[in-house]
Amino acid sequence: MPYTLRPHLTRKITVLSKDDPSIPQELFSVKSEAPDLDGFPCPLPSKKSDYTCFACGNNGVIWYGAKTGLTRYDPNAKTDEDKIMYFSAYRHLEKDEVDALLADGDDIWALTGDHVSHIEMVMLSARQKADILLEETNKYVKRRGMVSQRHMKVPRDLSTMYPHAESDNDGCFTAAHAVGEMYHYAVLKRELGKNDPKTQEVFKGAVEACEACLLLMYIHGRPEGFIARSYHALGEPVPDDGHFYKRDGKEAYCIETSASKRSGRAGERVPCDYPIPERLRHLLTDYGYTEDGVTYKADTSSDEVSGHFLQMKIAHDLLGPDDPELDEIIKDAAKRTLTHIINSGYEFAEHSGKPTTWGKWSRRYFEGDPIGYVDAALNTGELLFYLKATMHITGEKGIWQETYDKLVAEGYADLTLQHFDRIFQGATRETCSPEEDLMYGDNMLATETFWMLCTLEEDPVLLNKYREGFKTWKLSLLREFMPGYEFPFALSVPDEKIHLERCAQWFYRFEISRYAAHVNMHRHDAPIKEKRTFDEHQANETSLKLPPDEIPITKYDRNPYDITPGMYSPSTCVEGCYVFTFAYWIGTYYGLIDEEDC
Amino acid sequence: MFKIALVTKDCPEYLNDVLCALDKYDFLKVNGLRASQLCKIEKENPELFARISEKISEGKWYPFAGMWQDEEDFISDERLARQILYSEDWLHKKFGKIFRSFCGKKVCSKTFAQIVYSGRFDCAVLTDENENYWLDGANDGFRIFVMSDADKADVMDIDLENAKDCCFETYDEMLHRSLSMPLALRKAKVEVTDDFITEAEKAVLAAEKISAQSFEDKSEEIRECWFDIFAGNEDEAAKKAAEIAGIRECADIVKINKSGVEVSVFKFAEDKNGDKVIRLKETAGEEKNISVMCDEINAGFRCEIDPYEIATYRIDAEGFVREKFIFE
Repeated sequence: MPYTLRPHLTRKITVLSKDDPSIPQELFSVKSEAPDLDGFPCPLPSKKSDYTCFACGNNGVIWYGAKTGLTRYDPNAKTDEDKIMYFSAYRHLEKDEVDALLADGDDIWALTGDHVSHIEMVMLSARQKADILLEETNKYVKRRGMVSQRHMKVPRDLSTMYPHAESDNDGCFTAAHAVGEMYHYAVLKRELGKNDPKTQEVFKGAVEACEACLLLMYIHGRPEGFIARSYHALGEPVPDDGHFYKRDGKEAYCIETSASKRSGRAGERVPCDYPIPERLRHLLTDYGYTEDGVTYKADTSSDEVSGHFLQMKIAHDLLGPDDPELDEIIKDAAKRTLTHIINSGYEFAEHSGKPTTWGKWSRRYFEGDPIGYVDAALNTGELLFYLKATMHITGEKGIWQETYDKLVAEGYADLTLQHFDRIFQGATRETCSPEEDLMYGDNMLATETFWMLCTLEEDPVLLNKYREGFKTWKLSLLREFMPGYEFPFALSVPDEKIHLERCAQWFYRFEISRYAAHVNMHRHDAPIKEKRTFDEHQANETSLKLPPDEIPITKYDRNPYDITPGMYSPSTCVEGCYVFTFAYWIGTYYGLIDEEDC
Repeated sequence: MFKIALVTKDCPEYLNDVLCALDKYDFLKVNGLRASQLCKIEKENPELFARISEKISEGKWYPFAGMWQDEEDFISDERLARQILYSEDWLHKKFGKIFRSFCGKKVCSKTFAQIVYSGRFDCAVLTDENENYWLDGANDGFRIFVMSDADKADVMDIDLENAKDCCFETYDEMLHRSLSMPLALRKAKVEVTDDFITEAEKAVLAAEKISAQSFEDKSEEIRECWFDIFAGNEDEAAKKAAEIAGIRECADIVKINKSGVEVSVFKFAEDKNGDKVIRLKETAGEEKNISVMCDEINAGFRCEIDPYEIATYRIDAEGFVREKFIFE
């Protein structure tokens, strides 16, 4: 039985200059009085003595303004988490010190120095949120089909978006976005029919994201099945962050960056005469570019490869039947990439034959490197997943099955069970706890890997191993309370229960903009957790998971408990919507959630 | 060949022989003496203590960290926590080091692994255990690496003249070496018994709570009570606790909004800066999100607590809260 999501109050934030004519003038004359909070029944985000003003809204709701943010108290809220909501700079307020409040039905006007925040509490369904978030992403974040994040010149002013962007992981972020949109398409196709205009619109978006991922598998023009992390069209600025190759005729050369100078690869020339499929070139030509002068990023990691294989597997299943041409490119891309990995001794090799920093699935890595020893539990699963996915996509066995059988015989499937033991050992060696030693990006990679292994494997013994392997990730996955991890986990490991009510709360409290400004996490009601490392001054986490509208906006690769110093700025960044849409559309497609109408 | 040389007695003559052996054989390293024994030596024989301290600081002598003094294997969770707290506190003050290997008996409590782990030990060397393995708590998600010191002998029983080929190790060195190797270990769960607490322990905890609620720091006196309990002088401890508590009532000023979580400790922080410490204990075997309210110290906070978790929070004068390990 699916869990039925209800429409829920969602924050809609507008920060205005104090002289904006839309601000009610009563706000500036209202008399601010400190509230009497003696005996207040719940923990408050600010110190009681810091509250300086309050205003009463509809249905018993009281808004409290403090020197350290704004609190909304709803005594009738159904959950403890919704009783107290907290708003802070810079995401909700221009500064934390609230000078005056004016309630307006369900909404509030909050004066903070020279600015006013208009906070509307809007009743929205999760699907409405998905649509709003997708619209923002399509309008402000997407670039030539790729979805990661983009920056604006002026904080909060989306009209000042830069046309270009940079990302270390355009492939894996766009792949996850594509997966969400493919399930979006599949849901609408089921509900509205394939030819419905809305379904067709979503189909186009899903195909474009898919094509953008596939383009990264060909944009480098290398004859081997390499994948670029990202690319920049001619004239776009290239960041000094990693190894970039600029296409120059039939060769590309490694441009000078700090990293390429350090590694001695600056100036290195590699071939780039392998053709880009015509079907994918439109992502360049539609915007007035060609592959000439493209600068692509190399040193590709397993993060990218896993994202691409997940995207290809889902695209083959959900888009392939409606787009055979795309499906043929997917088959070619999967085979080329996997051939390259096998030919390079289970490592993702640069043209020189040397492995990239983080693209290694070989015994050499697992046995010769302390990090590889810990990584083995995930990376063995990843390679098995690529092999299963390629067999599924192409319908071929041959070398893929032979390699799969060989790796299973060498113990790769057994190593997938070792995650917790090895990460615990590694963390203990470093005198920290496993939680402190987690690579949060690995949680998504593990989800992709084990979800697909559990979906594709038919042998009951191996399937059981993969299910048990997925369970070894519970500590790290379930600690995040992300439906995007919990839903694939539930689909893969049917004997494990997930906390659907908590997942629902995550959807309820997700904001409708991905404007990634800081929020205050030094709260009176949320303890800070001391690290286990023997440095008394290290304590950079909250000890409880706060709701998504009260923590930093990130992708699926950051610690949601993290209190990162230095993030206290207005921010010019807008993140893509896939954190929400990936979870929502997978959950809906597989019947884990449904919705009451708004 | 790796070898563990043990210091098994605390009489001055024996210790003097050990120190002479350490001076004579540069390759020798030893492990031994609990914090309570070292504390006694410091008081009674400062010169001997200074010589031992030098060896500890040089890394040639690893004290038996973990328990203040030897205990039975059926003791309460809080008693184990205090054993660790007072031992580690004393060792840290004297030697400026964190000792990562817990030495002692396996206490038959479902939270044994959790308490040792929360004492920030990275492994446990358990009496009479001759195998490396992972010891998991009973459904609380905690784990500790149990490390065997199978090849051990009293240092004075070893033929040191012919032991040059042996690689003598401290427990910390053995831990570092073990964790640097691939490990494929069996997993075991602690044997579960119901947590029990003696009347004297209850009286001491109540006295501690009363003094904290009355804003009178009696940490030193409370510590003496616990030392009496460790030494088996329960009546003496109860008597001292009654004196600390006086005629005052032990009111519940810390309120929790859900059942199944108890306030096991409410006290002053050990460093005497006036901060308060609340220790919570989940008793129903369920994960919970709870609210903790204590207006008297300006505190109100929310927290997640796992099944059977024992969580320690330190609250400053402004009411801001930090979740801590048990060193408070």
